Amino acid sequence: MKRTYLILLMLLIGACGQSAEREYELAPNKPEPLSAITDELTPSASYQEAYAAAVVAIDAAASKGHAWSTSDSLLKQAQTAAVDGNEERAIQLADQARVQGELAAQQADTEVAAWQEKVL
Amino acid sequence: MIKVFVIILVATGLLATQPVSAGPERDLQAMQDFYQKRFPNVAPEEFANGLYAFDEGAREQWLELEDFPPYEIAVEEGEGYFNTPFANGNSYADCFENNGLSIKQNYPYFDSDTSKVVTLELAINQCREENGEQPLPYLRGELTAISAYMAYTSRGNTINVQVPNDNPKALAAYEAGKQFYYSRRGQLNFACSSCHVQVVGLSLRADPISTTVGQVTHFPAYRTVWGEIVTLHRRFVECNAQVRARPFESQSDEYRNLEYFLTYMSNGFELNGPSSRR
Repeated sequence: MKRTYLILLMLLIGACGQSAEREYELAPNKPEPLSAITDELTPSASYQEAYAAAVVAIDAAASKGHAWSTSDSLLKQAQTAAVDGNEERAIQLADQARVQGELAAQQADTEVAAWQEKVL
Repeated sequence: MIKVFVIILVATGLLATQPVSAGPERDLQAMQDFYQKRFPNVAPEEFANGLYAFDEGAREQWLELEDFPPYEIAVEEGEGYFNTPFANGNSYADCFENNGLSIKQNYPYFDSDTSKVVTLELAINQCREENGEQPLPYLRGELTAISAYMAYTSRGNTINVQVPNDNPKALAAYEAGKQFYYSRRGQLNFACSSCHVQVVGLSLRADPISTTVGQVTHFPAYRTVWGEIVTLHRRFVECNAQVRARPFESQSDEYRNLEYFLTYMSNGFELNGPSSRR
């Protein structure tokens, strides 16, 4: 009986994996998950530095028409954390906002050519 | 002989460097063919009804809702606003051809003087400003009601948006709208076409995704989810926000160009707005 449950569980896990693959096929230009990038980040030296860099990155993406609402939200959260005196959290959030800004700009650069591949 | 060879070589090189632009007419044909193939049992004119063209259950609910149309109040309010004279004695009717009635099928159009796309909502506010009135907010309220009334008077008219082939700026505006439609944006990395072309007909939560052709015919639309009548640009804002992109301003160049492309893709369809949507 236990063995049957184990086999069913393995089949279920296998099915989940397959469905994730199918989703990925539908969105081949999906950017890398943010966590994979932020985990490797060295935190900025100060909140001011992190904030300024994030604003530059987000503005660059916005100038290409591809700003993300999530980076705006992260930046606001960073500001709130800074006002609350939680510098470490503020830096972390501002760094994440910067990374998202960079990804958004990268998306814009990719789509300059890639959009034509989708035209009927 | 060498001269001929050089000419052919240069000509070939020039052709190769031209951007791939098939032109609006070819785009429209390709789009119509795609949906006809995707939904072979749906009559082409039915695409004007959005997802109700191919979802029987949703269609029944929609038709029941249309028995007591929730947008009627907005249309009546819009008629009132439309007929109220400005402080200078003029009215909206003085700004538009045919006194502003039965004209929505010609919007948006490309204005050669300003080299910009002019939507109906923009023209309404331009009319106000020309008559010394403050422009109205675009996303909700009075302007939406006026637009709803003008759409109501245009019901049954065939959409006839022009992209003049001899006007490179008009073509550029159309191409910009097309590029917007096919470009992925936002953290979720979705283009408009990711849903409305790539997986059209499949369900997004409870509702099947509608086709690109016929997508603009029913605006302004009463959305049950918001409990009010909304413009096409407010829908653009919502779509962009849903894929976690920072939305553009209503009536921005980006959205006006998008409306230009999208409305051209509905050329030949009858206007049936305002209508109700979930």
